[in-house]
Amino acid sequence: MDRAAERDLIERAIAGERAAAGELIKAHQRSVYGYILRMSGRHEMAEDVVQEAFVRVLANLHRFDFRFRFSTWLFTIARRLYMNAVAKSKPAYDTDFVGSMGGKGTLPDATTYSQERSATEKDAIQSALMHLSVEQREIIVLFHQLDWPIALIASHLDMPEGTVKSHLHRGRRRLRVLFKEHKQLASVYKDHFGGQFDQSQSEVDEVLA
Amino acid sequence: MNAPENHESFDDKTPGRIPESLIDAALDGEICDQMQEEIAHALRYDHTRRAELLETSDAVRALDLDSIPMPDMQCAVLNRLDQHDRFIPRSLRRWVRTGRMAVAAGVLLGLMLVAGLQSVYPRLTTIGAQSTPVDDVASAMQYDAQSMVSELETGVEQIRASLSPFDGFLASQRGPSSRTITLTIDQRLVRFTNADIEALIASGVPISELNELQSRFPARIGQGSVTLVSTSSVTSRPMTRTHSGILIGDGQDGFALIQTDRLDREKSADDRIADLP
Repeated sequence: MDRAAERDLIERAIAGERAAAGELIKAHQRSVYGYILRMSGRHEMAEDVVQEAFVRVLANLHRFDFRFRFSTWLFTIARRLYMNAVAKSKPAYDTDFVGSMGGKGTLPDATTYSQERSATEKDAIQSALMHLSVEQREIIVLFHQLDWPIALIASHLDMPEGTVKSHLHRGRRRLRVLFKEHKQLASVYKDHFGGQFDQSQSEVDEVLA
Repeated sequence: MNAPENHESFDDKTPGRIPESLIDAALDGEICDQMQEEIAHALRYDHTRRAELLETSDAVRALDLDSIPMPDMQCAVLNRLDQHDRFIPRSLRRWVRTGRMAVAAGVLLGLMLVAGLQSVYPRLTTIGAQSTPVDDVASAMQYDAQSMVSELETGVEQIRASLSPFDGFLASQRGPSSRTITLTIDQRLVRFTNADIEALIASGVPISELNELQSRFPARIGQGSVTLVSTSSVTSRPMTRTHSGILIGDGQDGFALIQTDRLDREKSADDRIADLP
């Protein structure tokens, strides 16, 4: 949506036009929902956060500064709500720290995997993302999923562009490795639990190793 | 993208290996078209980097937004906004706001008015009767006194009516200075003023200094009550004090006993009628 159309929708929504507010929601709900879902890994949390973000933004639309993008404002609110929800729901932990705790190589064991929802390839990317640090995950999602430029990400996260790039590059390399592993495991578990498991245990062990 | 390129060149560090930073820059979209072509060419020979790039591309592709199943939140959000009265047309919004302010101001003024009245007229703004024990006693006594007065008045009227010859005498004017004699007859209070006594004397009822009362009105003695009967023929009967009242008459025409509990004389030194025990 170009800025002129977006401005028109916002002005109509401020004037009380319900349909215009509906259009704004329709235009942005997928991106903000995808962002929060990738960050949290939980659909219900993403839905709650996104709904609340839309309600807050649209209820305060008359305060919107047209110098900025509506999506930036919406994402900032959604991010803040997500951070609050995370802080309330569970203690935060650093996935980098958890990942460095060792175990059998860089991969979690089969039991850990069975507890995660990595039965499909779709879940593999989410599982891989959840093993990144929060900064890496967020920057990768904003850059590769939402196509935000580095400068906007830096502004959104209040972070220097160099730091953003650093997180992006390291996170992307790590994601590549993790996604490959998770996809292989997902494939194995899918075959196994789907009744088409024809690989020997040694082959599974080989994959896990 | 034609962003400035400050990445490593192909021949740095490991000959034949494409530097990671160059791949990163390419993935960031920060290299020019010519460099992109060079990288693409070099990747044909750098199988490791090629594989890595393909894997990275695979992962990035999996991040595709369209692959995410998403609930439609439009209705839910709009319904929640409706609860906030978000969608009121701008033309009406001013009136709605003015109306709300007017209602709020009205409520505030009303409360201030009630508070002012409360301070000036505390009972005016009291909702419901708030009785106190003292009020109850006072009102009960007032009620009892009123009923007693009305009962006594009725009794006096009945006695006066029965004393028909006394009509006119008992109803005669009673000056403020007149002395009254209270006679309790059959538990009822009958009040005789000085004028009444004088009227009685003037009508021929002799009342001596020795507390003798003569009357021409004999009464029949009843159980617990006295009925005075007018008898004009009975005149100048002596009055005898007994233990139970005043006995009027000489016995020839019968006695009249004014049965009394108490015979008081108020503000009077006159012993025409003496106190009975």
